[in-house]
Amino acid sequence: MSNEHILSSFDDDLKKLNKNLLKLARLAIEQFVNSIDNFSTQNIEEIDKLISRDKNLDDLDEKIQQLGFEIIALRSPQAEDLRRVISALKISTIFERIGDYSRNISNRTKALCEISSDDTPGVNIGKMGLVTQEMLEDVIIAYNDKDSDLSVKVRDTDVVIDKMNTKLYQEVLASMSRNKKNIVSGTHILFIAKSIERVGDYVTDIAEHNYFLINGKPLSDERPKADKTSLYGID
Amino acid sequence: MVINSNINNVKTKTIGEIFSKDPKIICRHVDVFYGDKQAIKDVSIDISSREIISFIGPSGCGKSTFLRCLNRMNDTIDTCKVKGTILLDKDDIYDEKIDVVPLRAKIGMVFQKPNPFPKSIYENVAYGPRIHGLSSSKEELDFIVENSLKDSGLWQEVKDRLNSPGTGLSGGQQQRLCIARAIAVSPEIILMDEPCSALDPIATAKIEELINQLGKNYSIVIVTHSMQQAARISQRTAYFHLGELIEVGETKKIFTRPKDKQTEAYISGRIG
Amino acid sequence: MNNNKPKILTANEASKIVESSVIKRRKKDARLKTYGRIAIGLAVSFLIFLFVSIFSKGIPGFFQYYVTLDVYLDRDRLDPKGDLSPVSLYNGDARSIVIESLYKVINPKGRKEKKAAKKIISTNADVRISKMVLDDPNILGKTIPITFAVDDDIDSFLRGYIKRDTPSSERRINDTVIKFVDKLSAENRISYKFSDYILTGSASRSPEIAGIKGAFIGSMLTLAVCFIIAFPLGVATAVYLEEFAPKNRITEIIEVNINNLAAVPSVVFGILGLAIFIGIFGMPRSIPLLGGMVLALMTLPTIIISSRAAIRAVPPSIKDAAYGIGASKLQTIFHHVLPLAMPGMLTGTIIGMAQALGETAPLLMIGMVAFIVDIPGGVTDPGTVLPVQIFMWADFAERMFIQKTSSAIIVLLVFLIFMNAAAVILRKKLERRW
Repeated sequence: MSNEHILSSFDDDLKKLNKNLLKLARLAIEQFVNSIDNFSTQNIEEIDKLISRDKNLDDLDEKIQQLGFEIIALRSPQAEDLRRVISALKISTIFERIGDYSRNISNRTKALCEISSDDTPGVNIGKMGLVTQEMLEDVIIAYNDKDSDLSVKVRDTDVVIDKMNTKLYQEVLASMSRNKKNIVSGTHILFIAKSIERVGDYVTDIAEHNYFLINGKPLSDERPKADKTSLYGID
Repeated sequence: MVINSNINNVKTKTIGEIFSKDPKIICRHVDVFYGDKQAIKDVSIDISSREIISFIGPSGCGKSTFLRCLNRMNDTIDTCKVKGTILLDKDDIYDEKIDVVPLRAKIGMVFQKPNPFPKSIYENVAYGPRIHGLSSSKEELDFIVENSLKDSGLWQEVKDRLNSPGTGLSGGQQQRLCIARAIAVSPEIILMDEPCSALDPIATAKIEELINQLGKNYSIVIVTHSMQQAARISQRTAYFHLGELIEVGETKKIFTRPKDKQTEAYISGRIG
Repeated sequence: MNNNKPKILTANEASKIVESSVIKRRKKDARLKTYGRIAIGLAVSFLIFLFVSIFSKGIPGFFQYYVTLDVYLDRDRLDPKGDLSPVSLYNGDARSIVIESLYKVINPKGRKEKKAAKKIISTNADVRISKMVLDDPNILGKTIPITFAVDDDIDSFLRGYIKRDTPSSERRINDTVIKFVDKLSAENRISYKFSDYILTGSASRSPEIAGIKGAFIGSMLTLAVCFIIAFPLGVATAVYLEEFAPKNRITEIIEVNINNLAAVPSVVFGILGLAIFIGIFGMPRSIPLLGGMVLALMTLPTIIISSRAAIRAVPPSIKDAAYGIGASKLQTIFHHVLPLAMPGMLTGTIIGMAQALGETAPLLMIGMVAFIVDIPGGVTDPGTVLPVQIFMWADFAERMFIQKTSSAIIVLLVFLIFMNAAAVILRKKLERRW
């Protein structure tokens, strides 16, 4: 069976959609990785540049939405094509969101730069970022190669970030209760960690969409959850 | 006829962009009558070089009638009268001095039902070049036939049986043969009157792909009942209703955000 | 339940009503079928009756009785001038040579018996000898056995139509002749063979030598003229009416009149031919050219009507295709419409011609009923045609003409069957699906 449509312009459209989505994915990863790097280097100039670049992602997402819209209107895609277009639209939104979180991280990093504090436990942010970055890269590979197993693996990796986040939460809480000066910086760090954790969740979503795109059914297994921060204070 | 500078100064009810920067055909205030009945009311539109434009609209909206005005196929109907101006490269095609024979060689036509001549595949394609004297030798004619069949995507399927009857092909192949026959006389414009309505989906898809490819070299005007087809293959879409041209515009725009309520209702399946 | 109120039937009720009506309908169907079968049966039995009667009379008509005599071909008497020219042979005394040979066999005594003996041999005997001599002059001076047709009365007697026990005064041949014939039979000189004359002879008052060749050739020539005139004219008219004529009152009137002409009795066309071709243009009577022209007039409406139907049956999509590619009207008609309509037009024409072949009345009007012995060599030679020949023979008194008439009918029927078969084959062969 041929993988191509008889109507080649349909293929052209789908390729264009895919190309733009991958471009957006690369931009989003870049933004995310840079925001984590900036957290450690605390280069204000770089941070400002990063924040201004977020607009590109928004524009690209807009373009992808328009493209998907047109494909649905003009080509009436069916079956895998339909899943692909719908997934692409959703995934595109997610990458745009990831870009937004990267900007958030950068905003808070910028704020942190202005508050000098010696006692902030920021080491794990870098590690969390690294794991999330790996997940992001894997999920793009999974999307590109239609690799359903890798998608599942990416989804299951999210638990690692959740655990790291929970651990970091405890540390920052401890640090803030040790020293009241740390409250401002600690809060920023908590939000940064939360953002990274959200990015991890979004990557999981992408993995799930990808799984649906490949297999035509939702990835329904109970997924492991390890973000216990919401439970703090209950007991 | 000299093109007057006011050709783009048209009062029209049509919504959207009727003009084109590089017009091949310019229609202004075209009215068509069948006896006392008016089938087309004041239609003005440009058709660009190398564009695929589709005419859509409910049955009896006049889209086929208008299409047939463009190569004067309506001449064969005694009661049909055409008013207004239709310019092909700035020449009025309804001018008395214009002969329909060269006109129709310039503007090819493909019909709803595949209608190959009951002759061989070769003869079907060679007929046009032969009557217009486009080839001076057998080799030239062979070359034209081969090229036309290649351009219509039929060569691989029929090259070993050029002498078998054209009517023995499948419906889709017959239609592609008809397209080959039309392009064999090197037209500038191809009119297609619901070319896929008698074909199955796969044959339809092949014809659509062919139309897409041909759109790079020819202006193609296609009348279709299938809005999806118009959406898939055309760059511009014109919506006709009760003999009037309601809206023209980029297909993308027409199918995602039409400006006219009637167009919207039609393409979203709310009126038939 | 209120029966007067209209209501929608349930499926169950509806099917019950349908079932009860089905039986009635089936009976009606069966009745119709029976009527149809009876009608066909009647038609077939009439046809069988016709064929049996014609063939039972006509087949013997192809045969006749001959007498074989040893003839001494005396050179001086046969060819007085000695140059073997037809004139010389014609002036020769072949007849008496034949009679003398006959006398040798039957030995007639006295004038009365000799006179009776002369009746036995057909009047054509001398012509036959002349022909043989012309074909092969070497036979002169030799004695060879030659077979001659017997006179038609003798033929009828031999066939048993003239009975021996009828009183002599009421028979067409007297006892003396019967005696001679018996003698010839006794010597095995009488034979019953396929007739030399029926297919190759031409008209004659003597039935034993009368043949249909003249009429057959006349028919062919007449039909050829008819075809050459009617076909192009008919097709051209049909093309004009279908493709060019504006749809207005005048064309409508023309159309109605053409349809009416097809129903006009053929004799009217004969009168027309008589009045115009002979009366005004002063053409000679009895010639195949004139006959063909009159028959062409008669077949024209048939050809026009069938040709128009054939042209109309050409799918408009083919015409569209031709116009769409830029073919002119003429090209479209000649390249596409006519080739596609040709089978239909030819079929109609052949059927019209077959009708013309069987036509008698209009030809009677223009004098093709004349008694013409010579076989026509061209369309301007006087001639007659098969049906008229049949008509004439049927009118003659001689007993033998009855068989000859049936034989000629058989030939005409075979001719007609061939033409109709040709129509069917043409249609099958030329017809193409589109």
